[in-house]
Amino acid sequence: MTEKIAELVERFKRGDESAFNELVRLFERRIYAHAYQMLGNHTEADDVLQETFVRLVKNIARLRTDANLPSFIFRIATNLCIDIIRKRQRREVNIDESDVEAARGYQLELSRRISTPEEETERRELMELITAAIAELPPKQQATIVLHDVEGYSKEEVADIMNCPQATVRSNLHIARSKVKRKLIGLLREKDE
Amino acid sequence: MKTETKIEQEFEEWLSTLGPSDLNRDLGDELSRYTTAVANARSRFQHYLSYLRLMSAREVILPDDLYFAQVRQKITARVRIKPVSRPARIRALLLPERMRPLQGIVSGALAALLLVTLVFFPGAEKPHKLSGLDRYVCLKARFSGEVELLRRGPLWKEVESEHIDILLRTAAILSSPSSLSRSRAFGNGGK
Repeated sequence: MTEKIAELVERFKRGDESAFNELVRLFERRIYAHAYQMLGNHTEADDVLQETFVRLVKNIARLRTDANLPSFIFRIATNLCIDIIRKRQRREVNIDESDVEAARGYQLELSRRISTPEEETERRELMELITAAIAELPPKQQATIVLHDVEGYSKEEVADIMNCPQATVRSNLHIARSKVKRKLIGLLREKDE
Repeated sequence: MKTETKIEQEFEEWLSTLGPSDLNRDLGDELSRYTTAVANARSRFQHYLSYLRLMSAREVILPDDLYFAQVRQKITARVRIKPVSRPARIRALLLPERMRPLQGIVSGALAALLLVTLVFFPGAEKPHKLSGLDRYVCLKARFSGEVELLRRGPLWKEVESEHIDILLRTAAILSSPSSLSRSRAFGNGGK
C-alpha cells in the first residue's frame, strides 16, 4: 500500500491528474470520517474534505517523502478542523440545528446495533454526552483525543499528523482524558459495575 | 518504595499506550505483570477499557458513493494539476518542514527592515557627500585655519577700513558748526 501511495504521489507530482484522482479516492472516506468525528456535522465535514484536497494540490511540493502522504493529508485536514473549532469557540457560531439532528439520528452511530426504543434513547444520550465532553476541550486536545482514542492512531502517528513532539501528544492526551473522564464519570461507573 | 513508584509509572504508561485496537486483544498476560505490584491495577485497567470502549464506540456512517463522486467533481473543478517545478522541489528538500512557518516570519522581517530603511534613509543608497571632498582634515585644524585666514586675509582689511571710515565720518559730524552751536545753546540754559 505504501509503495502504491508513493508511486501515485510521484506521478501526481509530475502532473498526472489520474494519479491525483486515485489518491482522492483512496483517502476521501477516511478524511470525511475524521472531519466528522472532530466537527460533528456534515456541512463542515464536507467543506474540510474538499479544502483538504485543494490544499494538497497547492502544497504538494512541500511533501518531502512521498510515502508520508497519509500523515500529510491528515495534517491538512486536522489543521482545517482546528481552525473551524477555533472560529466556533471565538464567535460561538451556532451550527445548523438540522445538522445536529442529522448527527444524532443518522451519521454518528454506536458500533453495536440497537433494537429497543430504550436502548435507542440511551444511545442518543450517550452520544450527546461524549460529543459535549469532547467539544468542551481546546482544539488541539480535541484533535489529539479524537485521533488517538476514537480513531485509534498511535502516539507516534498523532505526533506526525499534528507536527509536534510525542511528549506534547502525551501531555495533551493526559489532560484531555482527565477532562473527558470527569464528564463521563457516571457512565464509566455504570460500565465498571 | 522507589521500585513501587517506578512500576506504578510503568503501569500508567502502559495504560496510556492502549488504544481502540487493543480492545479485542487479550491483555491478560501484560496486566498480570502489574497486578501484584500496583494497587487496584485490575480495576483501573477495567475502568480504562470502559473509557476506551465508550470513546471508540462512535462510528461515522459515511454518505453514499454518489456523494463522494460529486465531491470529486467539485475538487477537480477547483484545482489545476501541474508538474511540481524544480525550484519548489529543491526548496522542499532544503528547508525542514518545522522551519517553514519561520520562512514567512523571516521574509516579513526582512521586508519590514528594507521598508524602514527606505522610508527613514531615502538617500542611503547614494554616495555620501564627504566622499567628494579632498583628503581628510580634522575639524579643529580646519576651523583654526579658516579663522586665521579671515584675520589675515582681504576680508579683515575690508572690515578695518570700514570701521575707520565710520569713525572719521562721526568726528566730522560732531565737529561741524551747526552741531557746535546746538551744544552751546544746550549748555547755556536750553532756550
